[in-house]
Amino acid sequence: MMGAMLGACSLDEDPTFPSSEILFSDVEGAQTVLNGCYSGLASFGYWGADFHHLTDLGSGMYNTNKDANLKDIAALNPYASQNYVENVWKACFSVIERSNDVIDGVSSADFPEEIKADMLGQAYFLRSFSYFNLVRLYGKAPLRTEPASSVNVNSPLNSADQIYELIIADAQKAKESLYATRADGRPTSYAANMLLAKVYMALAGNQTATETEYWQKAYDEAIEVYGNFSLVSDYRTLWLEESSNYSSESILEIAGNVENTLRQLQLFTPSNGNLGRSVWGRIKPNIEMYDQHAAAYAADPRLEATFQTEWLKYNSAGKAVVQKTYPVFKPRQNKDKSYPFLAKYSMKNTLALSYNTNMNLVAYRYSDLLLMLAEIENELNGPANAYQYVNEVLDRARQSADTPSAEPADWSGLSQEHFREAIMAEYNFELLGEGHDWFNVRRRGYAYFKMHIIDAHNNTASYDFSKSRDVEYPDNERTILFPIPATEITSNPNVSASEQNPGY
Amino acid sequence: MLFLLFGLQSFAQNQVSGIVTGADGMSVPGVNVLIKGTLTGTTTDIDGKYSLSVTGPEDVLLFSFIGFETQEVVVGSQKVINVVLKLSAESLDEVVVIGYGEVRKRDVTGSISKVKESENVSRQYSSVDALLQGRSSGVQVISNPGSPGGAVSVRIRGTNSLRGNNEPLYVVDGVIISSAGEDVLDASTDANEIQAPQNGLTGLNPRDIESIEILKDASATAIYGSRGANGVVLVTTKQGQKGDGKAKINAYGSVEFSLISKKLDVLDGVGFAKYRNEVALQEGNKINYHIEGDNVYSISYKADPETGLELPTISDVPYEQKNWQDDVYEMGITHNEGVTVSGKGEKSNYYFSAGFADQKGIVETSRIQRGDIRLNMTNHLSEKVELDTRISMMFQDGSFAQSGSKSGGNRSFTKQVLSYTPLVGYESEDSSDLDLDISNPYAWLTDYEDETKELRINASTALTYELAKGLKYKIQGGLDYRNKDRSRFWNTGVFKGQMQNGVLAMSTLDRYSYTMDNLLMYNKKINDNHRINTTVGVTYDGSHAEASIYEVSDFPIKSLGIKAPELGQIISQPYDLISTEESILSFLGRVNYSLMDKYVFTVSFRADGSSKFADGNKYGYFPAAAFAWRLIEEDFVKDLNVFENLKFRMGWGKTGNQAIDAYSTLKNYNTVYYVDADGNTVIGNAGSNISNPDLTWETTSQYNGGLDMSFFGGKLSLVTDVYYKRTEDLLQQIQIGTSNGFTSMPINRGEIENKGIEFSLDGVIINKKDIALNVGGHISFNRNKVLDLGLASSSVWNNGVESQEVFYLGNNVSTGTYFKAPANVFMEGQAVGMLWGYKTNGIYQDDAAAAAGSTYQGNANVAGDVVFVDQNGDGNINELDRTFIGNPNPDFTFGLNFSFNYKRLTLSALFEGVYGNEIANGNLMELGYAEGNSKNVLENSYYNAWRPGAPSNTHARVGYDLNEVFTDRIVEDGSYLKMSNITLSYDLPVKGTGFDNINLYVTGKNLFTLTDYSGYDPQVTSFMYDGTIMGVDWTGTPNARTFLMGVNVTF
Repeated sequence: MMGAMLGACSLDEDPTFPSSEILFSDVEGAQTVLNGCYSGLASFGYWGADFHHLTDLGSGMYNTNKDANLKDIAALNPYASQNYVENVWKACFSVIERSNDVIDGVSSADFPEEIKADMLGQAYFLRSFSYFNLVRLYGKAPLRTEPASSVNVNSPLNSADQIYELIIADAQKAKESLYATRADGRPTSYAANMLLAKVYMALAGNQTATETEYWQKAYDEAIEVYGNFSLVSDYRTLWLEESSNYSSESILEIAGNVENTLRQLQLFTPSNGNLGRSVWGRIKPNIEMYDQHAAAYAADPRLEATFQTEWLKYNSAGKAVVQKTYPVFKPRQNKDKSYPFLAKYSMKNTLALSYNTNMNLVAYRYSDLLLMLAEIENELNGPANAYQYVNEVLDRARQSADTPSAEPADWSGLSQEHFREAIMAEYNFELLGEGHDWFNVRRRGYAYFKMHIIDAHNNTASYDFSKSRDVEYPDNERTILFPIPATEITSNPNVSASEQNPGY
Repeated sequence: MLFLLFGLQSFAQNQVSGIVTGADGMSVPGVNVLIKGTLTGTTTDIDGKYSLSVTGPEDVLLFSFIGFETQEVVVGSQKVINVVLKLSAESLDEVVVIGYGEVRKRDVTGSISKVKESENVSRQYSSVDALLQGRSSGVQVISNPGSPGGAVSVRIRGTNSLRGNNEPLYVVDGVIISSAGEDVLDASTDANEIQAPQNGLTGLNPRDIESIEILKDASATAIYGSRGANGVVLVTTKQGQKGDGKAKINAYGSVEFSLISKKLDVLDGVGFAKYRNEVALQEGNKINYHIEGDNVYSISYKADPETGLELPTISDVPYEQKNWQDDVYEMGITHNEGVTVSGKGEKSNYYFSAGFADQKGIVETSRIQRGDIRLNMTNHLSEKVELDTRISMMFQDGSFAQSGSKSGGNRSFTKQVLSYTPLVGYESEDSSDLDLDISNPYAWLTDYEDETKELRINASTALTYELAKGLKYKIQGGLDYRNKDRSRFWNTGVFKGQMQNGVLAMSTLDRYSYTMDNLLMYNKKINDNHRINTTVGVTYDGSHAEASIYEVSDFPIKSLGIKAPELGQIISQPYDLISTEESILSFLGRVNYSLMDKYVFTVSFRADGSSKFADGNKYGYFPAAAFAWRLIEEDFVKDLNVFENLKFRMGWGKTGNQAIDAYSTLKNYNTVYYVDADGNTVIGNAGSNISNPDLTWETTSQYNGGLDMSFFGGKLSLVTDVYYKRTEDLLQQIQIGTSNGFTSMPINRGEIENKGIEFSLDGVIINKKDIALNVGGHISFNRNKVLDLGLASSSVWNNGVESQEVFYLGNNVSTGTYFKAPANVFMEGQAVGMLWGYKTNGIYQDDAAAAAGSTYQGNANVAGDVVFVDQNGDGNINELDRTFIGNPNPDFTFGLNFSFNYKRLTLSALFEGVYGNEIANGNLMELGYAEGNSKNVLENSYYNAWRPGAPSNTHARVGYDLNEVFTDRIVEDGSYLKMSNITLSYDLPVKGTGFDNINLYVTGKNLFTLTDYSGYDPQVTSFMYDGTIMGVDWTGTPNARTFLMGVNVTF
């Protein structure tokens, strides 16, 4: 009896979830691990929501109706334990860890070379993409290139130079391995070119083409993309749920559907701005962002597509009242009205009951590439050949109204300095709220940032800084970076408090 | 037969006959009657009668029977000799169940408490863990009877482990039930929505409990090896009592009325209007409320078309003013009835019971209906073979009021009841419909469903075969089957439902566990000096669980709620089935040896092999040894004539804890989702943990010394125990840098210690025929300390002094705006889970003081702000300024009980309490500050707020909004003394009625609580199974005061 029982006893674990061996035993299984990387990219902590919280609210260009955030991150006063500071760091590393898992698993798998190259290319791209966010937001980070195990946890911080080395190497590998065109929505070699161009522009900083080779390197990458995409005819269709996904100017997208919703509609639609009253209206542009755009081109059709100054507010009985915000509403104390909302991601179907949407997020857009090319060309050779790129964008903007507008007019006759000023502002007009703001306004250094963001904000006459809705920004150089998250410092014994970014 | 033979051989000279009875007057069959010094004798027949020939009057008859004292009677001239047998002293010895066997109480060497409660009282409880409250030293129970079906937490001798679950192991009739803290998974994909846990120890009705033994020290619990470290609760269910073969039938019924035991003083409508107006004026806005007497009217503004001035209009109809606590909490009526039938025949005994309870909470929507049956049977198949079978089944169907969500705010019912505006307008001027906003308290009653169904079957069968005298083989198989499903539906009236147009989360648990014990027991008395009691065995425990989760949202038709998951248009959590198998193979042995009834030795050993650990770490060994010295048997003690009993015990043992999830040593993958280019969901797999193949159990070594004393002929008894325990290789989920791609990793690292002393006193003050008074009490002191965590040290500032300390912080309390921070610190050299936050020092009284004060995260202060203490003196308050602001561990816990009996009347009462612990009253974060948002606050927060010209050093200014951080301002003394139960019962005269007993009783439960704690109840039930959050009242629900009437009939 006892013997029979002992024979039946097994102390081995036979788990019901897949193991690495199973997952990497065939292409289909390995693809699911790769899908997991994208799932991380689309998660709430990353592009799904918190990346926008962090880089919009922390950029110096936005306000919020969430009071706690208003006092810290939106006041350019982030701190190491701040939620979004922690979450985006964590989410980037989650994608890096998953990518490392794919790289590790696929490298040693016995798959057809072409498939293997493509999968590795995607994983390298995602690792590069996430490290590029980390290095720009936090300045430094631990380099992790192996899947985490109990024997390799807690790496020390590496310098920005070391991280950029990996970013470039990974993006190069991605560029060589990825298909140029593909129908599955995944990154192409052009997306890798664009990533590299952005990397080199970030490295170029505020240096001139005579001081650094990075402008040339950026050009070499960006020009590869040129001509392979085209602008959609109407800017407004980029922000409609039915036409925004995979348009002709989309270079890189993060995908969502109603079951796996990206939260842009919830974050940007004014609170109670849909019948289901299920949105937060959490992120809204500062009034100087509106003012600058309107001052540059008062009749730019993009203004209406970018800023929501009038919206329907629903009450519990389902009745809607029109709310008018700045610039119509001028008083400074109203949560709903003192700031415009961002129209791009505001729910167009206000009768919707939930915030769920099939709308993707476009991370890289062709008009961004055109502006980049214009900026690069101007840096390398002056405006002469740069106009063609920016004017393509401006022309499309003019067409983006029921009757084409005269503004924004084509550029001509600018000096190199003027062109530089104008193109930097043009990023804000064309791409506001699309995830590039924080980076673009900082990559030319603190002096540029102070003048164009902090001072521009603090000197905006309409603000009343005695009201709690309006926040005066500190002149503090530390805001060029976010702090290294507190959790990393307290939980990683190889990172010490003295390594915190300056000023935090 | 033999006696009969001898009887026939002797020729009748004198015939003696008679009846042998017991003390209760019942005849005793089978008694040996022998003429002393001869082999001549007989036995009594079925009626206790005997008849015997004696040789002469000088003969002496010996009457002997197992369990009774042998009696000698000189025949003399008697023809009829009737004898009343007296129970032998030895059989008076209580038998104590010790796990895989039982010993005489006098042979107990470890620290074991026995819990006894009258039937009337024990039936009032719905689970055995709740019943333990206040009844034994060293046992701290936390529960909130105000939330029926809510979770209960039991801690034996402090916090043993830094892992979540410190619940003891429960063993019911020899079958391990490891479901305390077990629940269905949370199906919600919303990380902010925490599912309130429910009690896992279902299916055992306290009505059926014969006795509960609590094994506290390791010499007693080591026989349970890798699962014994948190203590063991042994439950024995009832059996048919000895009788004349006639069934004993007992029927009972009770009805219970529950009322909220405490309400919090939030602002009434007028106060709230004043508050909102003051805020508006402060912000430079127009006021929105017009107050006239006790009425409040809304003010709306319209621009005059000519002048452009905004002109106020006061509404005609005043606001409806609500006291939400009065509106929402109502009397809950519970009834509970059942029947038990038991009996004992010659070869078998049985106990059958069935019951039904309909339990309602103080919130309309909380209700549990429960039915259960039990059948216990013991059959003597032959002289040597006994078969014992016990089966119980329970089914319950409950609906629960959501006690709270981790993010609080309008996601939490309890919080909304307190903070929702007391002023409610109408939808329009001529409408009688209230204009209520999202997540208003009524919406929680109508738009939230939380339904649970549970089936629980426990069955065990044991076959005992007596191989030889004193040598038994026992094989026992046990099954614990639990099938539970829980469905929660959020309609659009509550926040979560509104966000997604209705959400339904469904989860199920289908789990069976089994045990198979093979035991060989040898029990032998060798002359009067040696008694040996041994057990060796092999046991195998297995568990197979299937848990599923599923969530859908976007319901075009919402009226069917949880009944129609098919109406959800979006699958937000595809059906996920998580199955887990666990097994433990064990070898165990124990010897209990008693020498001259004076010296008792116990040695035990258990080897456990667990499936949870990797090869090489699977087996653990858990030895224990104990010694008891029954000093009372020593002449020098006897001669003192002081003690009725005096026994000294000491023991040592090692136990383990393997409370980690199965498969933790392997790399797990979770299913995640992404979207393809066509907009379709695709499956992804993502690593979900860092595997640690080196994991093994944590080990606790415990030393225990005890003294059992009784005086005055046993009228007063005192049990004292001191213990020291040290837990090593703590199973921790250590936080790692999030740069690893994960936030934590399981590891064996670190040490903590617990030491304590326990006293338990019982006294029989009066014990007369018609009047009796018993009192008892116990008090337990426990101190714990983190000895080693094995982490790197970091800087901590305290009063301007920097030190390097090794610590980690607990989990964040909430995910929302308030209390999104850890409350506890686990630091070497400190007690477990010290409260960790900001110290404050009153309120800045003027602008000069405010300007001179330290900034908070770079923000300057104004007059009326809270003064934060700058621990590192750098002029700025940030995380580095956090320090100790309280200790959630009590100095001592205690219980008191008495019972007074006068003729047919019995009054019994139980008090329990805790002293010296601190509670972080999370509710105060919002309610304790007149922050200026649209939520209601406590009266004090508004009326006593600092104002220019009305200084206050206790409450911040109106509009102060730095209240989401954890400060000592919300830390309160958690000491309390609670009257848990007082019962008055009366036995009706039953002579001639055919009834054996009719008993009527009334009970008051939780009649009063003496405490300074300002929250609902100082028994904090938030985060009970999260070991990293201690003493934080975050989702605290009100408790209930209960009155009960019952009847109990036996025939």
